[in-house]
Amino acid sequence: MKRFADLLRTTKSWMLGHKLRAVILALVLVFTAPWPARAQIISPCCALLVAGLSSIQSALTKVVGGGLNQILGVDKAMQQFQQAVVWPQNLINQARGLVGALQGNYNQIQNLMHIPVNSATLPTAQQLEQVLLSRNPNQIAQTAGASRRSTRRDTPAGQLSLF
Amino acid sequence: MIGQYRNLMTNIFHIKLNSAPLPNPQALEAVIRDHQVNNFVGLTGAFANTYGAIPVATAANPGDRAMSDMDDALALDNLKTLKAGDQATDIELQSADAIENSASQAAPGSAPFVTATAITSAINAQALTQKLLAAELRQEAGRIAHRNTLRKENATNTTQLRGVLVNLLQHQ
Repeated sequence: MKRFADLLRTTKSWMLGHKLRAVILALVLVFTAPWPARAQIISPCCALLVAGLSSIQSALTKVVGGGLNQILGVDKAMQQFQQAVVWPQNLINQARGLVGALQGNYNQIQNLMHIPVNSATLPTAQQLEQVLLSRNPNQIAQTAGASRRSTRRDTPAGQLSLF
Repeated sequence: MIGQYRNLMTNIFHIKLNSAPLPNPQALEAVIRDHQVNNFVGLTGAFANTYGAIPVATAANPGDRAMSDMDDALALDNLKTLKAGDQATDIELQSADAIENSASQAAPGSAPFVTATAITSAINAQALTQKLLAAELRQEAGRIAHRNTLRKENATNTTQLRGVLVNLLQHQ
């Protein structure tokens, strides 16, 4: 008993000497102290909670779950329809194969259209032909000159002075 | 329906139109209509056998030779373009058949592929038509140039004849 009184006295003197620390310590103890728990048997709160949760579970399972299952069924049917009827993999691949094959055909046509067809044998005619087949609009200005050169009639002077 | 239409069109495309009775024109006609592009040398030879070669330098004045050469060149250019166009048309027809076959088995999802291919094919056909049209325009321009050259020659000859006549009258 005496030791307890001494302990109290010591504590009191420490608290008086360290008021701020004592207050902080008291606050820490207050905030960290465990709260009292309600008993399960006596309180009706848990039973109400259980009933509410059961009701929600029932509603989710029967009402919302049923609707969701129907939506899922429709969704699956739509997906199956799209895969089987709208976007069948084999027909998509077949169409893509067609595109590839026809690209080859169009390349052949382009190559055919670029085959050189030049046929002139004389220089002036070759120049005009080159301008005409050049596909180059920048050579339009040269067309007239090349045309004149290819049709120029260089008659020998001796043939003109018949008299 | 595809079978009926396609067979009719195929029969029309394969109608034989060859008409030349003599050997050289027959050879030229055959090479013109063979839809091949690997025998241009044979085409040039058959053309020369049928229409004659360009005169040598000592047999005609340079202008006549150049004009003859240009006329022949334009004709040969167009015949070569025609042969290439025939082969390209064959490929176009094959493409059209392929698109038609694919369309008969298409699903709604594959239809855009077939549609895009058909549009591309139509654009190719238009480009081909324009190329042949350009060749025809070149040929027509050559024909006009040839006729104008003859008119110019006539004018020159008339002027020269007038000068000669004046000269002759002055000497009398």
